[in-house]
Formats: sequence, structure tokens, C-alpha cells
Amino acid sequence: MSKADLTVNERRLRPIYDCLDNGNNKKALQEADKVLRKQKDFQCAKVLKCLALLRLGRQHECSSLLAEVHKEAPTDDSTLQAMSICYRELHKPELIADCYENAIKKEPQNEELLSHLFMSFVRLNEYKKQQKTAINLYKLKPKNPYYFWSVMSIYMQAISTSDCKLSQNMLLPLAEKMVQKFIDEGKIEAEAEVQLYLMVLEKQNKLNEMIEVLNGPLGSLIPNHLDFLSRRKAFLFLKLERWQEAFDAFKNLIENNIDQLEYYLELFKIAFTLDAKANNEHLYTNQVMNMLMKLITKLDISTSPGKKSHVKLCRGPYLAKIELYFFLKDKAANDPSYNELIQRIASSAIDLFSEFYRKFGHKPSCFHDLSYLFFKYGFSNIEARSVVEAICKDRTLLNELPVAIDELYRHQCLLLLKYSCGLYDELDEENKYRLISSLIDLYDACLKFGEDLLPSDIQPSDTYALLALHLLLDLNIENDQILLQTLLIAERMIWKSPSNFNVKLILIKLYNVIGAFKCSLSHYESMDIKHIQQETLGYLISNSVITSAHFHTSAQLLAAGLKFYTSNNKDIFDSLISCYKYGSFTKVEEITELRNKLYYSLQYCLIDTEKILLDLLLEVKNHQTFEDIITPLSVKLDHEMTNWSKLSDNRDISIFQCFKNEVKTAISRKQKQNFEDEVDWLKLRSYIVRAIIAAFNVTQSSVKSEKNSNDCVTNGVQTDYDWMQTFKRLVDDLKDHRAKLTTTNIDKSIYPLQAPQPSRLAVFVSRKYTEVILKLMQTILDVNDFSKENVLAIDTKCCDIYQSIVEEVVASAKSAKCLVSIGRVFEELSNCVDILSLSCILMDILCCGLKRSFRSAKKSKKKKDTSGAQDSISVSSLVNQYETMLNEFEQIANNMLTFLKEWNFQSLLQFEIDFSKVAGNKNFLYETQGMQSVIDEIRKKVDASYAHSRKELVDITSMKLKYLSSLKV
Amino acid sequence: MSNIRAFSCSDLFKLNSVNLDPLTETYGLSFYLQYMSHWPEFFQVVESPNGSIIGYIMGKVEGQLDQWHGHVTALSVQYDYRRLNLAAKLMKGLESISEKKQAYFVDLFVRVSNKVAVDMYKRLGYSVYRRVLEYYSGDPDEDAFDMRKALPKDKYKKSIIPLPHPVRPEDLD
Repeated sequence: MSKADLTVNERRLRPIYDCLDNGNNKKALQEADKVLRKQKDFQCAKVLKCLALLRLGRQHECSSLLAEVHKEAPTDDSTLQAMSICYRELHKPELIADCYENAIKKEPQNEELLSHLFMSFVRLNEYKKQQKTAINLYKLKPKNPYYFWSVMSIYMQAISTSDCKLSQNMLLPLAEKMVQKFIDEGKIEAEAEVQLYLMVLEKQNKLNEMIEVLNGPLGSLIPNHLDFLSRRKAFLFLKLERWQEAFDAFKNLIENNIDQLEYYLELFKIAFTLDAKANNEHLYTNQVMNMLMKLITKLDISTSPGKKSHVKLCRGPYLAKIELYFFLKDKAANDPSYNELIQRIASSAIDLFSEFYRKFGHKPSCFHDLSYLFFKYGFSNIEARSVVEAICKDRTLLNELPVAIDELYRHQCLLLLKYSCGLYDELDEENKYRLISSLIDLYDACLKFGEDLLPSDIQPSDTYALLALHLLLDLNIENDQILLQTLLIAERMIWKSPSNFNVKLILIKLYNVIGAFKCSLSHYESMDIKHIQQETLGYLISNSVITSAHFHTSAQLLAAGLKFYTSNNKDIFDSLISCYKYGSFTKVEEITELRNKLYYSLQYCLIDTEKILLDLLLEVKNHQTFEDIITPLSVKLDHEMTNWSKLSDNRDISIFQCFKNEVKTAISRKQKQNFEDEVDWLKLRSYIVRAIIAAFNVTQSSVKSEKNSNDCVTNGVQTDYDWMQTFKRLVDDLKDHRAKLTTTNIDKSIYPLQAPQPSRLAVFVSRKYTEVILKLMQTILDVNDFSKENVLAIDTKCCDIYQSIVEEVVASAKSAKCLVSIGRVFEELSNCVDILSLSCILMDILCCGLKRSFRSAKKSKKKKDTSGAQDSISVSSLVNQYETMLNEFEQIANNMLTFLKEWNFQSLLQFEIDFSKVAGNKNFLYETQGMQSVIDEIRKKVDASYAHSRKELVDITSMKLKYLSSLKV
Repeated sequence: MSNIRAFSCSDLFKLNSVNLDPLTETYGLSFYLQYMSHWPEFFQVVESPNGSIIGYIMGKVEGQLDQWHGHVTALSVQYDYRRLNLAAKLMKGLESISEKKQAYFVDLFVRVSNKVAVDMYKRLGYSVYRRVLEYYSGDPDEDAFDMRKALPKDKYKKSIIPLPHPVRPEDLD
């Protein structure tokens, strides 16, 4: 093609590209057709047409046209690029590689094509093919990056294989040799190449060799910003037990950066080891101690009040001193000679801690540091109280107003220490309320310290109100008085401190527990949670939105969450490709791990499964809508998730403030338990979904095979796939799992509130929801199982079970005494509706099965077969039983509907609440609006949310009732 | 004390306590991945003694000829760990890697209303190079200061001579 032709072509394609970029796919299609009318073999225009078709949802046409171009094996860049985009959007990355391979067959000397081929293998994790392509590239154009792409590809083979021998004896030595060759020939050019060499050495545990590289000429290519290079060397010495060198290295690091605590901790261990080896009367430990003490003296002098110095007070050395004290204490247990050293540090741990408070109490981090050290060294609450006492000897601040910001932080730290060591747990209720009131007053008074701050800043005063909230939460939130007091203070605090996410998290939790989802959502939205936070914080609402029966909102929220997971796959591979382009080899492994974590994310799998169930709940009104929803899901079983052990939990639980170490321990225990429960819940839900898909296909395939026995591929789904077998297996899985769950310990407690709330599994298995489903599935199996000669009866027990569930739930709703129990009732009711939805679908499937038997019985009757007559008798009796069952379900659903319409939850929201206990001096709570109006507002919000839940429950139940009535045979 | 180390991919799961601050943006995954795969040495985190992430810096190096410079894309420290000089340490690290990469200066954008941050950067040796009109979208849009600090390579500190007039975001190079 001449240059002129190229520009003409480019000009003709331009409008198509523009339309595609603007999302105007229809116009793009027209433009493409226009070009193709002039030039019918214009490959790139064809592919762009494919892209427009694909984006218009016309996948079939897209695929066939694309296959046509694919066969022609195009070689021009723009066509291939467009094809790549198509295949990416079709989720068929393997075909990208294929089209570049075809192109290279035609133009084996084309560097650009080869490099695209390499990248297409990166998308596929085809390390071996990557390696081969990179070598071909290097042979074609001997550039360093190509050579190292191939080394990196070998490295990736080595770390991804489970064959340790292959990796250690073959792949890594090969990679090393390849780099060595370049070193010998003096061809090393870039930092990336050295980094990769170090990675190869490290994986073979050749640490001495690594040090040699770092110390040699190649090491100069590696930057030492923030001492990263020196740090790396120091840790290598340590790992190699080259103690003296390690000692010197860490000592130097500290001299250069006195604030990095990890350096001290390593140095203590190294000094101890060196001393133990030489038996030299603690020579090294002494040296370390002297260095530390000198450092601290110097800091003390240069930062003392009145002294003008540019030296900033930093807490590293002071923390290190405390760490050293406990380190030596531990050693002294076996070797009393250390006691003399300990005495030189401090006379007691309590002195050390109170000294630390004196120095750093005015930094908001002080409480966290102390709390962490208490935890690390197993400090009991009694010991912690002695620290508090020692601090209080210096000053007694409570009930006084801080006059400067430093004083405010010191005061807050002290209060948090008192709270964390349980001092306030001993107060009786009256005194506790007095304390809470005084904290509210302090919060109010100290807001003046934040007057100049922006609304986006956190108020220094916030900790007072947060502590008051924590004290209230320690009381019983199942008492509506306390619950509403807490909500009042928290909602008021948002008014003054709109940017404090800690209080928003408390509000979300509380509203979740009482099932007032609308209120949770408004705070959740104000935190602007997005992208990766869907994975780490999405759990805050992803369960509660369903359990509070806000089904339509659930569908939106879950869809938004899913979008993150579906888009990140592309982003991740794009970034892997960049890693090769820019030589960031150190990040390839990390990014690959990230991909796995997101792929096997618990949160992802949960919302993916729940979204299907929600679609069934919200969209299925009759047989046709059921078919519409379920048909596209049928392919999903091909890549079903069975690798439960790989699931990863990336929910961020630590985001909730927790001031007590023992509670923190309880929370992390609970998180582990909760993860197991959620995995069990996921299994349960996923077996149900998949069994339904399989059951649907059982009836579908038999319908189709009746229609046309030769047609074994329908809509791309093979109908000769043994759905019956799959369905049977899944029903068995579900049965086994349910049986297992009866003996599993499931966490049901909502406390501590900072921990993840109990999995939905807890409420679900407390009643026989699964049994209803299982009984119906068994019936479908019986009716459709051709191996069984005659099915004489349909087991209608499922109606009885469902009826008693609904009766129990209604009874618990009527007896609900507090908002927390209302929250639970909504969860139960949404389960009831969910089961109703699933039962309708299963009866629909059953109905299809019966219709088929009915038809075949009729056919055989025509043939005047005697056994056929018998068949038709048994079938019609089955149909009768089925209709009885249908009627019973209708009856139960009607009862539920009547209850829902009449249910008076408002009465629980009406009673009077005594707020005088938390009102303090009443300034804060009464400012601008009276307290009563704030609480009225909360009531109104909660009421509106409950009313919405009720409406959705009513709507779905009514819809399902209509569905049921359409299911007569 | 706090430990500074290179940013690793799994840290993305641990940024919440820093990022829930309203002025700290949570970017799309691809944005972080782009920085990690292109400029990994410009991305560091600070850890508290208990291992939680309390701050980070994310940056890059870019530009042509004497405009080749380090850029701070994001810098944030969790509220409870402010007033400890951590931001200054992170900035120092970014300046030193920029210097190693032969950059002439380091620059950053900051909301004009964010006085605390502007003052801190001034203390660290940065000065306002120009004002960028309506750089931050919002209600209403807000102007940014483009602040700069010259590195040794820019011997005569030409890069930081302030522009007399504000610029529009579309005119940024």
C-alpha cells in the first residue's frame, strides 16, 4: 500500500473511531458500513464494525464477521489493535495471541508484531511462550530489554511451577546464567536488569552472591533513597548470620535515621547474639545501650523548652528504649547479669511509660503507641492502671478544661488510657452517665480549637465525643433508651465534625443492626467508598442491604460492586504489560498475587452469587421472565467455583476504632470465625443457585429433545451435557453441606460491635429454610428421574415446614420489644420472601416436568397401551398433589402478606426517652435545634426506612403470589 | 517512630484509615497500578509499630529537558499520626530519588484553601510557582497552587521563578 493510500484509509476510518470513542455505536456501525460499501475488503473497517456490533449487544454477528477477518490473518497494526480490543471485550485473550501468531507467519521479521505477541502472552500468563517470543525478538533486534523479558519469563515459570526441582535445578540456574553472560560481556545497562538478577539470586537463596552484587559495580545502578539499598544489605547480613557486619550495618542505618524502629529491634537481637557467642560481658549490648542513651540525651537537650533548635522531637529512640527494657527483661529471666543493664535504663516499666507520656502525650499517636506496647509485652490492666496512676500524680485534669491544644491531646490520651485498662468499667450506671455527660461538655467546649479548620478536617475535640459513644456502646444497645441516646450523640457529632469517619462507621453499624438501612446508606455514601474500597469496605452494607429487605437498592449496590471486579482484570494485565515495558520486574509477582486475591475474593464471590439470587427475586414474575433470567446463566456452571480453600478475606475490620486490647483480640478471633461462616454461607447459596440452574436445564433439555432430537446445540449450550447428573450432584452437595452445618459452630452474637456482624448464615440455619428448598428439589428429581418407574406421591411436607417458619417469624415480629429485634425480624422476613421466590421457581420447574410427563402419558394413551393408562392415572394424581401444594403455598404467602400490611412497628418508635442523662450542660445538644427535634428526625428516618422495607416485602410477596397462580399445570 | 518502606501491591487493601480522609482521593485500581508499574521507586508507605499503614507518598518523574522533574501525586498521613514529621520524611525520600534520576525540581499541586498543607510545604522549602485556576472539580471548583522546590541540578533555581499570572488547567504542560 502506498503512503497516499494509507492516509486515505486513515481518513475514512476516522469517523468510525470517533463514534466508537464517543460511545455512539449505532452511528459507528453505519459509518463502517458506508466505508465497506466503497471498499468491501477493508479489514480494519470490518473489525471496527465488529466492535460496534459487539457494543450494540449483537455478539453473534460480531463473532462470525471477526472469525472471517481472523482467517485472513491480517498484518497491519490498526486492524490487529482493533481485533485485540474486540477479543479483550469478548473475554477471549487467547485469540489475540493467535492473530498475532498468524501475522508473524507472514512477516517473521516484524519487530512490532513480535513485541505485541509477547504482550499477548503476558495477558495469558503463558510464561514459556513469553520466553520464546522474547528470545526471537532479541535475535531479531539485540536490545537489552528483550533479553531481560526472556529472563523474567523464565523467572515467572520458576515461581509459578509446583515442581520445586525444576525450578531450583533448571529454571533459576538458567536465568542466572543468562544474566551472568551479560555481566561477563559488560552489557548490563539498567537498574531493572540488576534488580532482576537479585530476584533470581534471592529465589535460589544465594544471599552472599546478592551482597557481592550490591557491593560491586552493579550495585551503583541501584538507588539508595531512604537508605533502601543499605537496608536491604543489612537484612541480608542478618539472614546470613554475618553478625558483625549486620551489627555495623544496622548501627549505621540508625545513625542516619534515628526514627525507624525496626532498625533498633534488629540491632538488639544482633547485639545479644554477638554477646552470647563471645561471652564478653555484654559488650555489644552495652554499646547499643550507650548509643541509644546518648541519642536520647542529645534529643532531650536540643528539644527542651526554650531551646531554639531545628532538631525535631521524634519518638523512635524513646520507643526503642522501652523496647530494649523489655527485651533485656526477657533475657534476664535466664541470665540475671542483665539486671544491671536494665537498671541503667529505668527503675521500672511504669516509669518508662510515664516518661513516654510526658514526652509525647501531646501527640495524638501517643495512646496508640502505649496501647501497642502494653499489648506486645502482655501488660495486664492492673499494670496499665499503675501507669495511669503515675501519670495522674503529675496532673489531675479530668473535669478541667484544656487551655491549649497540646493539653487537649494529653488529656484525651489519659482518658483513653483509663478507658482501655477498664477503669471506667467499674463505674455504676449513674457515674458512667455522669462521665458521658462531662465528655459531651468537653467535646463542645473544645471545638474552639478547631475553629480555623476546614470542614474537611478532623476536629481535635472529636476524641471526647467518640469516647462517650464507646462508653454507651459498652452498655446494652438492645435497650432502646441507650440505643437512641447513642444515635443522638453520634448524629449530633456529624453535624459538628462532618469529616470524622469513625462516627459514621458507628452509625452505619448501629443502623445496620436495627435494620434501618436507608440511614446506614446515607452515611456510607457520605464516605465516598469506591474502587478497591468495594473489596475492603463494601461488606459494611452488602449484607445489611439485603437483610433489611431493600432489594432494589441491593441490586444497584451489588451491581456497582461487581463492576469493580469485572473491570480490574483488564487493568491488572495492562499494568503487567507496563511492568515489562518499563522494566519494573520487581512488581510483576506482586501484581500477579493481587490478581489472585481479587479473583478469589470472598466479597466478590458473595456479591456475585447474591446478585443472581436478587435477580431471581426481583425480576421473575412468571415462567417467561424466569427463562429470560436463567438462560444466560447456564454457561456459568462450566467454570464453577469449587476452590473454596483459596478464598481470600480482604475486608478491613481494623478500620473500626477499638481502644481496648482485649476487645481487639476478641475481634480478630471473631473475624476468623466470621470468615469461616461466610464461606459456609457462600457454599450454601452457591449450591442453591447452581442446583436451580441445573434443574432448569434438566427440564429444558428434555423439552428440546422432544421437539427435535437431532438438535444438540442450542444457543451455544450443549444440551447433551448431563444436567440431570449435575443437578443430582448439587442436591447431594447441598444436603451434605446442610448436614455439616447442623454440627458447625456459627457465630450469632452482635458483640463486640466493632467486629464483623454475624454472617447471614446464623439466622438462616436457625430455621428450616434450606429444608423447604431441599424437599422441592427432591421432588423435581423424583419427577424427572426416568430410571424411577412410577412416582406415586409428591412430598408436600415442604408446605408444612414453610408454614411453621412463617408462623414463627410472624410471632417473633409481634413480640419484638426493641429495635435490635426489629432488625432481626426484617432479616427473617427477607429470608421468608427469598425462600418464597426460590420455591416459586422450583415449582415452576416442577410444573414443566409434570407437563412433560402429562404429555407423554397422553401420547401413550393414544397408542392404547395399558401401562400408559396406568401412567396417566398416576400422572394426574401427581398433578392433583402438585396443585394442592401450590394452593398451600399461596395460602401461606397470603397470610404473610396480610401480616406485613398490618404490622405496626411504629409503636416501638413512639415511646419517650430520657436524654437528661447524656445532655451535659445542654449547650451542644440544644444548639440551633432542640434535642427533641433531632431525635424526632432520627425516628422519622428509621420509620421511613422500615416503611420502605415493608413496601418491598409486600411488593415481592404480591408478585410471587401472581407467579404462583400462573403455575397451574 | 514509624517504619518507611516501599509500597507493595497488597498495601492497597490497607489504605482505608488514610484514604477516608475527605481530602485524600481514592483512585481507581489502574491508577495505582500504573504508578507501581512505571515508577515503583516513587511510592512509599509509613507503618505504625503495629503494622498498620498510617501514610504514604505516590509520585513520578516526567518532563522534557530542563522540565524533567519529580512530581508528588499524592501524600497523606492519617490524622492520629500527624504532627510527627512523617510527611517531611516521605517528601525527603521523593526528593532524593528525583535527584538520583537527574530531575531539575520537584513539584506538587495543593488546594489553595488547604493552609495547613501549604504552610507545611513552605517549611519544606517549596514555593508557589503559579496558581492553577479551577484545578479541583467540586462545588464550587477550587484553584490549586503549583508549588516547586529546585533540586541541585537546577543550579540557578530557574525552575522556581514564579509566574506572574495564573494559568488554566488545560494550559498545564
